[in-house]
Amino acid sequence: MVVRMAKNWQSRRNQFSHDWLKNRYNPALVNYLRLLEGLVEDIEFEEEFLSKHFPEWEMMRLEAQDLVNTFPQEMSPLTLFHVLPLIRCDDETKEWLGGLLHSLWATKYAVEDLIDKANQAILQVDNCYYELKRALPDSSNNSTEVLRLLYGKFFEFYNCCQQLGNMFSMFPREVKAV
Amino acid sequence: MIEMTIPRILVIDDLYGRSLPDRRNRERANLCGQYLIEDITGDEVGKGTPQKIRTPIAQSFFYRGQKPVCARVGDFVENDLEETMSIVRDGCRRWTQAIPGWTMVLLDLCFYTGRVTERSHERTAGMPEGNDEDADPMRYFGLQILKAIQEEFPDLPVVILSSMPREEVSREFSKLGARAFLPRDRGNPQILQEYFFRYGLIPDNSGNIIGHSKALLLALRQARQAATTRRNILIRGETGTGKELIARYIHSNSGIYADSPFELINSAALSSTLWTAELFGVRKRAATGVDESKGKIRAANGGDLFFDEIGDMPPDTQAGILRILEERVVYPVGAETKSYPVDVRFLSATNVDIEGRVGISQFRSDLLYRLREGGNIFLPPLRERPEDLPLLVERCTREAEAANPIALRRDIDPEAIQKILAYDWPGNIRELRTCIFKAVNDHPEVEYLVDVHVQIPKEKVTSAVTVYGLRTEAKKNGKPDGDVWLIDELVEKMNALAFETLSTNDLVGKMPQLDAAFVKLMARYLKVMLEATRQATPNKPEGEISITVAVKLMLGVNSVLTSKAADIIKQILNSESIRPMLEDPVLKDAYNTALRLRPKGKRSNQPA
Repeated sequence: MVVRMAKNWQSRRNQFSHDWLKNRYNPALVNYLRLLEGLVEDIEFEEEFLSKHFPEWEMMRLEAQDLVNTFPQEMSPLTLFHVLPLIRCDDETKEWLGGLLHSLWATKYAVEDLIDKANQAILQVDNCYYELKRALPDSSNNSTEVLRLLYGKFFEFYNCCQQLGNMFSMFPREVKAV
Repeated sequence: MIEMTIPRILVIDDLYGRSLPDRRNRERANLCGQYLIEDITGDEVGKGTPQKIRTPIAQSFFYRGQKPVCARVGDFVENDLEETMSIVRDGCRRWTQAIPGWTMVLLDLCFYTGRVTERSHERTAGMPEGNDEDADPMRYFGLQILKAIQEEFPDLPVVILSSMPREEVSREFSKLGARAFLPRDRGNPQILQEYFFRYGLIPDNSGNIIGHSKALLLALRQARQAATTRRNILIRGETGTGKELIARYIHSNSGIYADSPFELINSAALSSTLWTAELFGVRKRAATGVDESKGKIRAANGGDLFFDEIGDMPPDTQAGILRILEERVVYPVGAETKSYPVDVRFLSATNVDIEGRVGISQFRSDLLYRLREGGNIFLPPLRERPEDLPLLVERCTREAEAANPIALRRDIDPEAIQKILAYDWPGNIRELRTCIFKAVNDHPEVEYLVDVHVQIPKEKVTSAVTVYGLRTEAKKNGKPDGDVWLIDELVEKMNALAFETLSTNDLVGKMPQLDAAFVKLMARYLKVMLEATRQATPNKPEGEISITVAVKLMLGVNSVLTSKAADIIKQILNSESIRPMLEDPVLKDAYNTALRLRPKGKRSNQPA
């Protein structure tokens, strides 16, 4: 169960950070910036970006937040007490030793700081996203010429998304004992 | 004949290379937009309005690296190294067919395999669930592909394109020869263009250096890499291969130094009395009416000085140049106490075996070391890049037409190209150009360049002439490869040789080469005679050489003293220029025998 939890967390992290954010969402943002710059022409993409691709963040932010929230639980060395050999320890040992290991792990890998920074990164993306969303004109007046005026905000949003990707890369890839 | 203007790259990636049955690969389109590359895969026809890149920096063919390329729900996706390499080969083969090949490969590392489920298809269309092995850095399929490419095409640059953390695989992809790592979501066209410049197989798009054979592209890449530093560079190649053009190419690709001065000087033409003035300049002397001159080195200050034919530089000139390279100051003639600091990169060129010249003390080793501290650039002769001949012929023809007011524009007949391709062009591009100019000038008012206009020697000149001194040997071996002349024919040709003066520069300093060529010919003749006169012994059934018998036959006499034979062997084999030939066991054996019989300094008393 523990191994599954860790694997599950890793799998979900890969799906969020690697498969969605870095492979799809960020490149779509960059391509849209190129479109606003006039370097790329793509009628289909231009029509569907704001309605289909851009709003994906609203759904994926929940996954991002959940990953950060569940990290201390699912990737802590405490989970090692649910499998051999540490599962053989008695409850009292599990409690004090587990607590000690968790504290040492949290200190050594600056887990609190990591979570804090990840939350900050999510918040920054959120702020940029909703600011941009508020600034977007309604569909009757969203020609590329008008949207070009928001280039700076789109660029800022892209930078925040990149930072988020960087933050998720900093999470460890396996359960680390101290 | 296709003119390549932008690089053509291969992207091997499961996400970007996959094909979708009913719509465009959006991820691929986004990557193309990110890097401003034009998708030429051709699998998206009829799937909506294609994306257009206004000014692409490259064209790209995308391949999944797996089968099936177009996967539906229920399909099992697996990695396909064989087909991947087949596509790599196809692109590389194009360089030999006058069609643009791969400038570079962008390669993903992690390829997901397994069944395409409803869930995985929902997440990313056509992609499988993947398994633990796929994500194990030690087992990345991308590293297998990288290894296969490096084994078969070590010159083809591969750049890793991945969103996986670099540090996890850095050691592996470095060991396997990848040139760089491009983070998938952070790249931009400028970085890609920088990688093309540093690592790519790209032609000279300025149009000065013509061709896109692999041999030439490798030389151009060497030149661009060397151009990024201010260290001196040595350019090597046969006469007429375009060493000055490469020097100019290096200069123009030197970043901020591209607008700096470029001066050139022919070392062989430097007279020993005037070289100092020409190079260092002269201080103005009113009393004697001598005008000040800056000198070539000061004229090149901040930029590049191209030294042609460096191997023919007189010894005192070499000493002077070495002093400048070491001290970085110039003292004009007549101003020995006033110096000028100089920042000059020396681009030297040679068509001789300059290390050999160092070996026989004709060129200073310390100077050679300085001149090539930024590296050597090797220019291929024309015979090693025949696929470039049609382009070169086209260029020379147009230039000849432009230079002749009455010359008509002409098409180049394929038979003329075939005739040109059948010749080795020992004089390389210079010889080709002379030939084409003559063809156009002799026939200015025609619309076709045909084979009869192209006048080249009837015999195909190969780099090594096979000479059989014994008819029996020729018969025994059957029909020999290449050209075969009997000794008498060879002597007849040598007696009939006349030097056609193309320019004085072509003739200057050739005596050491002629001397070396003759000595090597004599050594080969000796070897043939030694082989032909082997005598079998009980200990050596394959035969032992006899220097006395061989030399007797060479001289055409009834008898010869062994000491005399030894002297002759020493005379032939004692030259520095044929030292490498002493690796041959027969010649080595003969030389050692001669030295044993006639240790150094003693000579035979028998009259010649």
